[in-house]
Amino acid sequence: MQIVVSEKGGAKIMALSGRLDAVTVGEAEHQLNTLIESGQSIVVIDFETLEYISSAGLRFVLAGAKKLQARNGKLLLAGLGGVVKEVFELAGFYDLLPVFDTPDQAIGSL
Amino acid sequence: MIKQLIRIVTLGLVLALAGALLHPVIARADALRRVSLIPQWMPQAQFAGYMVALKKGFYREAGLDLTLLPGGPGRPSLECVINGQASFATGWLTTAIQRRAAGAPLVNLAQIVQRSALMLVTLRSSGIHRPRDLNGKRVGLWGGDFSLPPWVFFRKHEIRDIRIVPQYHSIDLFLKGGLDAASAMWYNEYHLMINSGIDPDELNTFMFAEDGINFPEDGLYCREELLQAAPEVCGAFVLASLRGWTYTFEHPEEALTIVMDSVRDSGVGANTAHQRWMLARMADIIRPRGPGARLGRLDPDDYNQVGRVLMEKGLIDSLPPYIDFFKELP
Amino acid sequence: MRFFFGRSLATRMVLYVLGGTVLVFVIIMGDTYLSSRDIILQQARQNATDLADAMAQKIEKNMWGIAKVPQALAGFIEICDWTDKTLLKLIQRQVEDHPEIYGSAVAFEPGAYHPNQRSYAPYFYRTPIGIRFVQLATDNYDYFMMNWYHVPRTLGVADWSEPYLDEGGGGVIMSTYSVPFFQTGPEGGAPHIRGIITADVSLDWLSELIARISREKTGYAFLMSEFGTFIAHPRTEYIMRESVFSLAETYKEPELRKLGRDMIRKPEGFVGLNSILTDNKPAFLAYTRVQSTGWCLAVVFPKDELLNDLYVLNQRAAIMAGIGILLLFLIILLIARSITGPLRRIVQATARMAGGDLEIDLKDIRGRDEVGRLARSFDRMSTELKQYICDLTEATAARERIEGELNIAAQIQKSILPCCFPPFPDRDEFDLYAMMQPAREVAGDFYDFFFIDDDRLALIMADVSGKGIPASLFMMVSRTMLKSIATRGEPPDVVLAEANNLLCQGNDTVMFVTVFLAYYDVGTGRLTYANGGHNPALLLDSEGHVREFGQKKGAALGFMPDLPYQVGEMDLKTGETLVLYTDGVTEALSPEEEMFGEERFAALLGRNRGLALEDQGNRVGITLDEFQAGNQFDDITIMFMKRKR
Repeated sequence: MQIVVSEKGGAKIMALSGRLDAVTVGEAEHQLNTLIESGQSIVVIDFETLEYISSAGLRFVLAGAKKLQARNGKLLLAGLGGVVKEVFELAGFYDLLPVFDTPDQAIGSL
Repeated sequence: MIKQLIRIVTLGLVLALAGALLHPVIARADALRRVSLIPQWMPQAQFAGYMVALKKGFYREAGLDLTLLPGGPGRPSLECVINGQASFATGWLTTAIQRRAAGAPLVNLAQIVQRSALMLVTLRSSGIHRPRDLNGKRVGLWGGDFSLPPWVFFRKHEIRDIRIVPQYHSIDLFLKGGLDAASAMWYNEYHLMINSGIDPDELNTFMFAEDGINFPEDGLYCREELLQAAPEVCGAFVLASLRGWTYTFEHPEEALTIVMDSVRDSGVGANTAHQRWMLARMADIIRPRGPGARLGRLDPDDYNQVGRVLMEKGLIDSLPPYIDFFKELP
Repeated sequence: MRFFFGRSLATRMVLYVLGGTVLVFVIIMGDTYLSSRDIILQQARQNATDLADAMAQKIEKNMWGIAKVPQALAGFIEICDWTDKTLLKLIQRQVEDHPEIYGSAVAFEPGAYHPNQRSYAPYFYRTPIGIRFVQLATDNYDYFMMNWYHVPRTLGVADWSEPYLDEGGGGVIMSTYSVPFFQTGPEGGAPHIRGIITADVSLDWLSELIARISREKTGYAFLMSEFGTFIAHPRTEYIMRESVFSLAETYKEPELRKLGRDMIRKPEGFVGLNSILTDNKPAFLAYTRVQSTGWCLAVVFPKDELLNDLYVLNQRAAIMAGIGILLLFLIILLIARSITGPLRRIVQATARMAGGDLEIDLKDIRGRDEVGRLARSFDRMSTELKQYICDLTEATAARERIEGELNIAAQIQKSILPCCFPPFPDRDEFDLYAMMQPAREVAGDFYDFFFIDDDRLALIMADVSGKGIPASLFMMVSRTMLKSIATRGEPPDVVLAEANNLLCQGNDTVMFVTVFLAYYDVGTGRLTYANGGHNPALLLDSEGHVREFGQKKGAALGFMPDLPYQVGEMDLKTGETLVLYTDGVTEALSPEEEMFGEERFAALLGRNRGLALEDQGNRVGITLDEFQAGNQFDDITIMFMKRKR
């Protein structure tokens, strides 16, 4: 899995590609922790190029949202589609999280 | 008187004793007849047969107590026999014939050297290849009888114009280029030339014997009286001498050793190589060849040829009869 | 102190180093020897030639000096008027003044002295008691025949005679220099020879000269006449008896004859030869000529004498080399042993270590070289190995402990999940079968079923996020919670909502569990259900058709509190089978990463619908096992419930 971090409008965008499962979730956690600890309060995860997400990945997203929330920050999800979107829907989390089509939209919503 | 008697008796006893003691000596002295032999030159292998016979005891076995006298220049051997200074002598046939013809009572007991060893030697580089080439050249000749065969040779080949140079006792003149042709004995001077560094193929040789001019050389001589008085002694001497020569030919190395001992004892400087050559050549000229040839025989044809030349040269008036001259012993 | 010759380092070192050293030695010594030998022989040639020249010059000086004397006298006799007395005085004076002249004569041609006198040859000679006079012209002595007269007279030039032995006894070697003197011919015609003047010279001093050279260590000299006869030679038996040619003849050496001819003809030369002339030893021979007399002076250097010093030197060098190599051998042996000794100990220690004995002590191998370092690193290695094994043993022990406890945990879990089938034998309204295959020892999936009252059977299918121990712990919590809430009899959606709230508390790790809760009314066949984030349930009819239900759902439990859940209803006909499962079934991956999928699952269920529920479950298990080729990633849980009446 590749993670590409970019910045836009004061928010950090983590673009994930590949598979987010129990094996790769460690990287993502590490990256997100780095962003959070460096004081970043707004993080957008771009799922556009992510092919697959497992329940471990799902947990990572939920934990990340809770963490940011505890620091008065926000985790926004963008580019959810296909299988990845299904997983969120099936777990019933799709409606519970701020979901946008694109990272720009997510940032624009702030 | 008693003194006189005692003297006589003592004398008688002494005489008797001496007689008893001397008897075997006298007896033995009678058994070995004392004779002497004088060779015509200084000791060398030319006289090997006699040295060998003496050393090996052939003379002793033949009943002779032979003394080998020293020969050489100034001691003409035949004269010594004629004078009675020696019992026997070796000498040249031509010399002997002349002496006999002049009345000396010399007889030939054996003709040892039946083939002449006299020759002329020239350097190839002098351009003398045929007898006729000798014309105008300096030819070294020995005096006396040594000049006879050459005289016949020159006449035979119509060589009229040569400069004769006396050649005395050494070949140095020839070696130093003072002669175009030199006289040589095949058994002596020829080899001296070789051993002075001249290769045989650098020499042209003219051997008289090969040219039909065979003057036999060394023979054994004694006074006629001795032969008449003691023919058995002469016979024994000749037999032992011939035996010596035969032994020499059959045992050349042993003979050589005997010769070398005699040569050294006489104080003459000589080397083994030269004596070995001389010994081998003596065999060539002494050993009988041809039909009817016998060791020690004087060929009548040779005798007559020599005689004719002597007469032609005016050296003798007439040739003594063969049978008077040559006394062949059984 | 055993050496394994042939395969040991020591042997190799010894062989190679020694071999190399010996080779180097041999090459150096060989080259040195050859070069030295060449130099020596070259110098010998020079020395020989120089010596021969020097000696020849010396002799020449003497002979030339002597020759001058009769030449002078000849000149006087030819030019001056002289009387008999004067002549005699002159001759005497000549001999007196020149000690090197033994005797001198003036011999006249026949009639040249006096017309009536055939011969006249006054001769003065030296004796220990003074100069004596003798008249050579006697009846006994014909001097014309003598070589000293005859040869120069015939040749017409002055000449040294071939050496001869003095007849007087004593064996003194003499040579005579004869000078012809002339008289001018009548009317100035060609001069004709008048006589010969001689100077007799003893050649004893030659022998001394030759002997002196021969006394020195290397080499000897000899002198030959112009016809090859030895005039002076260390072997006195050769003198005046043998010539180089007679030697060649006696010892059958044609090469020597050729050399002899060269020696008496050529002005100089240098040869190496092995002949009787050199005492049958290989030697060098340098020769040159004495000009006046034409004699040949030769100097012989036996090669072994020349090279003797070299041989001795070489021997010494060889001995020293030998000792050196021996020392080298010992040193190498020592060095090799200092290497192979420790190495062998290390080898032995390694063997012991391989056998399990870790107690090795190589500390006494000191040294700062590679071997020492090897020993020390070996020591370190063994220490760390011991430590590692220690740690490994502990870790293994710890792991075994954990494994043991895991096994126990798995057993506990297993024993908690109802697995006795049929669970309700006295209820004939339905058949029920459930199975759970954990991906690891302990599972995150679970199922549950229990009667909440006489008619209603609660069925739970749940999937905790994750696998292993964390999931299994959460699973235990959520199962307990659900059961305790559901047994109160509230509708499924309420149960889920309450359970969700409870699970959200103290859930820092954000575990969540998807739950499908259904109540089955046994009498009516009605299913009342709620879905918390779980995959829909399946209904399998008797024809093998499969349809989903329960798609609408709330969120998985444990994430956020106060979330709404929906309730749904469905009637189960007789012969229809309810199939609850977790996504471990449909998301099973083949080695090609293909998902098993709903369609394949539905088809499988349809095919096996006729079998007993337990068999159907087994078939699913087997099929998935095959499909996954043995690699199970997620827990697989299935529950079948068939309405029979």
